[in-house]
Amino acid sequence: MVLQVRKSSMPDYRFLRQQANRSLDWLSSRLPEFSPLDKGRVDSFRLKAFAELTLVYASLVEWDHRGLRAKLIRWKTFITTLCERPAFAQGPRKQPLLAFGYLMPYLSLRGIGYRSEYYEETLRTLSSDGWLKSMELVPYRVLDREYVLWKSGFVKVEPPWRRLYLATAAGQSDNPFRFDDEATYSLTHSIFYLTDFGKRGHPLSTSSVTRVKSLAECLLLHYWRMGFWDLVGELLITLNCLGGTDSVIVRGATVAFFSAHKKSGCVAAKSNLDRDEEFSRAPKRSKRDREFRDCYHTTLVSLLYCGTALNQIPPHSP
Amino acid sequence: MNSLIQTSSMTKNWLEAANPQSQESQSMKRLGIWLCEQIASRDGRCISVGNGKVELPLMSQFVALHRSELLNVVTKLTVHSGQREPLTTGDRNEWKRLLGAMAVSHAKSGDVVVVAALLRLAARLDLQGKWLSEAKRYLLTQQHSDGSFGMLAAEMEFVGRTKRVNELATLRLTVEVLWALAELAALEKRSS
Repeated sequence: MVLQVRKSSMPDYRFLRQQANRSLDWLSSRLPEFSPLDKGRVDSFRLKAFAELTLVYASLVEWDHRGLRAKLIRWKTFITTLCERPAFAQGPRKQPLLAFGYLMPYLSLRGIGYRSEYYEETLRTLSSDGWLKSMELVPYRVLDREYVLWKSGFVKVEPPWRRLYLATAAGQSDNPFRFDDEATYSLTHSIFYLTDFGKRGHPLSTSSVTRVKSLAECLLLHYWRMGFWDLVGELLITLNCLGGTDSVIVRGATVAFFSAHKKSGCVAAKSNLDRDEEFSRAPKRSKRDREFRDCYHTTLVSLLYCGTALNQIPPHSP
Repeated sequence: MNSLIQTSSMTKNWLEAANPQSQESQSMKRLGIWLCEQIASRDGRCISVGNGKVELPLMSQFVALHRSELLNVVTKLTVHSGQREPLTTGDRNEWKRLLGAMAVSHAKSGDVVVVAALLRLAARLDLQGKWLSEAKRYLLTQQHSDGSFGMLAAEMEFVGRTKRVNELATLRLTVEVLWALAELAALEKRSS
């Protein structure tokens, strides 16, 4: 597909919908690889991937964009079937230290109305025993946990957003020199949760929003230059969550981000994947596995970006 | 004393004490001392050697330039004093952010030469901003206590350190930084 991002404007509704569909198609074709269950064991990498898939699914269902709904039915079947499999459902009680990771998919589904008596019982048991908050976490992961518990409806009281945010990297500094990759992920995730992906009011003052947008834009150029598409995508979502920004940097990074996508609809986290000698020499099966590992997250990010961008455009705009 | 004058004064002392052997290094030393004097004079004039008119490239293409192309473009833009079309307020704001973000990005990669070049261009365009200030602060932290610039130990170790190579590399880098500082000092003067 030829990229149609004009100099004077951001991607239009049609382009975003087409792009979202391409990412959805690639992700749908790889759904079995999101399953964390493998020969009687749970793979922690795929446990994370499955939780992320479910989070994106729940967001897309909530946003309800025309033209994407039909394709999500396959996702629903895959996700609910897996969650209901006893081999997965027993995980949180079997390994309470990993309970939150196991429960993430269910909590995301719970936020859009899905209920399972077995999981409800698990949640009550583990919560009363303190297992849902047993791990020591960095501040943005605390924000992440509180957001998921609140969004699911399991915790009724709204978290102290401002206090949680001020403990994160973005709450502490707006100097781009202080943001390495990890701190940049902290920034993007903090804004995702604080704004509910741009769908709720947030406790940031106008001047704080201006500072965070400026910081995100500066970091966006850095990761665009580095070909680090995972963070380019997350920073573009961050800017959308804060109401959007139209500048040369944002337009250029958006064009570059979509140009990095493959014809199949996926996009690798970093631009050097195809040039990697080890990758090009690998046997077919591990090549496919490597492609999944390198592309699934950034492709989910791309889909999420399209969703947040579509949320800002009226469907009938030219 | 102004921080740029103080910085260049230290560098001038280092340059005056240096005793380079090659002709190229000696030229670099003279150029460096001359730049230090320009900084001290603070007369607000840009440093140029040609009268050609070089137009700015498209902003969207600027980020994607390879390092050598980028340095080449910036050099062409900054050595010529020919008048170009004045930037609109909107373009000034975009260039300020673009050059600032690029300078910060290259600073994060430890590329002092590119940071100096971008700051030089920004100063020539009379641009000032938060990210440009952060990049300038970074540039000033690259000075050694003897007055020279550049943390080149790793590169020297890689290429096989010889006194001549080390000397020339340090002189070249110091001159690159001084050139940026001279343009920044001139901008400070014009803005005051």
